[in-house]
Amino acid sequence: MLVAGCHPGDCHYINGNHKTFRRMPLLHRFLEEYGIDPRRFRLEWVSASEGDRFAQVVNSLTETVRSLGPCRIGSEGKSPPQPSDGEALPAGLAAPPPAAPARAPQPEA
Amino acid sequence: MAKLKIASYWAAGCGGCDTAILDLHEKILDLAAAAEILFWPIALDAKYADVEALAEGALDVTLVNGAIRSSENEHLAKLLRAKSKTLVAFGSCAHLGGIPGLANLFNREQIVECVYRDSPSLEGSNGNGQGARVVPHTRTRVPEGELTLPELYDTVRTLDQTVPVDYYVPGCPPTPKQIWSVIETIVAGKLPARGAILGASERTQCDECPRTKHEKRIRELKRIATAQPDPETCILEQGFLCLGLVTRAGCDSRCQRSGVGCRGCYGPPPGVVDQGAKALSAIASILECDEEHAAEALVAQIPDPLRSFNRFGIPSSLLRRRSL
Repeated sequence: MLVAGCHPGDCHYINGNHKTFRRMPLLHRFLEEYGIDPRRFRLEWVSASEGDRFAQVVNSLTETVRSLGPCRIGSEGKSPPQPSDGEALPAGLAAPPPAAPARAPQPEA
Repeated sequence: MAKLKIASYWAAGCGGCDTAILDLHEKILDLAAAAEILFWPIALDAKYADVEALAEGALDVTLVNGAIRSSENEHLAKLLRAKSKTLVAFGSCAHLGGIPGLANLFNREQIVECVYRDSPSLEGSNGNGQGARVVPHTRTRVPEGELTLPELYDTVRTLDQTVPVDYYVPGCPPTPKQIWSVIETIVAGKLPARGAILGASERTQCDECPRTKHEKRIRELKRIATAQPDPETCILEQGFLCLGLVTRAGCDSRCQRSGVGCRGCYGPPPGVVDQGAKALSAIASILECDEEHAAEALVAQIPDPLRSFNRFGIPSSLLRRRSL
């Protein structure tokens, strides 16, 4: 996803890009929490007269997205089946927990 | 006229919705006079088998509170759908996913790891802090026979992502006043067209909030733990997060009257699809900050934007869950 707008301070619509640059850092954090790689999302200032820059930004984002591969929105990541009696426990759940650090003996009150 | 036959079920929720019904106090007797309650686990001793034995459509109205996150929740949702002429998603969890819906930022494996293995206050299987930590099994054989537990799902769903739903009553929990108005509507046979939101307003919280409002400009974000809003003016204008802008009204602004921001439990108002995204857009746009770097620093003062803006609606948001 590319969000592009006029450079702040240089827009016919005055402050829409100001509102956008306040929103985008929050949206970035939203997307990370939703498990979407933040490199898939970019905010760039590209005015209507910067054709070369627009092409560079689009090519760069296309390369990034191609290297990341498809975005699997909504994937649950497959949890192992829940154990039931008679089945082996999933590997991570069967092993004993790492030994707890030894506690210093407490003096009796 | 035969008495209405009704039921209420508690799926993945905290029990607050059923308690809110009990908070009708003596009016509960009027409810019992007007309707026969066939199944209500918090208050009556009916069993699942009693529901299974009912004819299709035997229940006139069933209220289901709680989200759907286990095989038991799903079975009961489907069973009650089949037995009910009218099925109501009651409360934020059934309506939007609610607080249990925050589990959609993880999956079952991560939750089981955290709760049954990583929690610092657990003992191992031999009772001495040694041995494998015990995790829930769906089937366990004991000398007396086999014990079973429902399967926990990776993703929490709303009721209407599980079965068709006729009406929605929002709120965490719905207020007793609103519950009573919904019951009166049902008993009088005056339910609106299917799909409607009952017991709430078509306006936003801000439309009904009694606090004084001016132009909204936020220079500094504050938290209720370290500052106190004055009792008269808009909580959001004072720099505290409040989701009144993007939340359906109907609770009499109870949080704002108590001096805290709206947390959004009545869900999005008409016309809003994703309440959290709308909150992000609305609140970020009123921050008073015209420098890009300063804006980043200002929004960094919101410690947990996703859970603050979409506390009750992750499963019903556009993305529904974290992608893993």
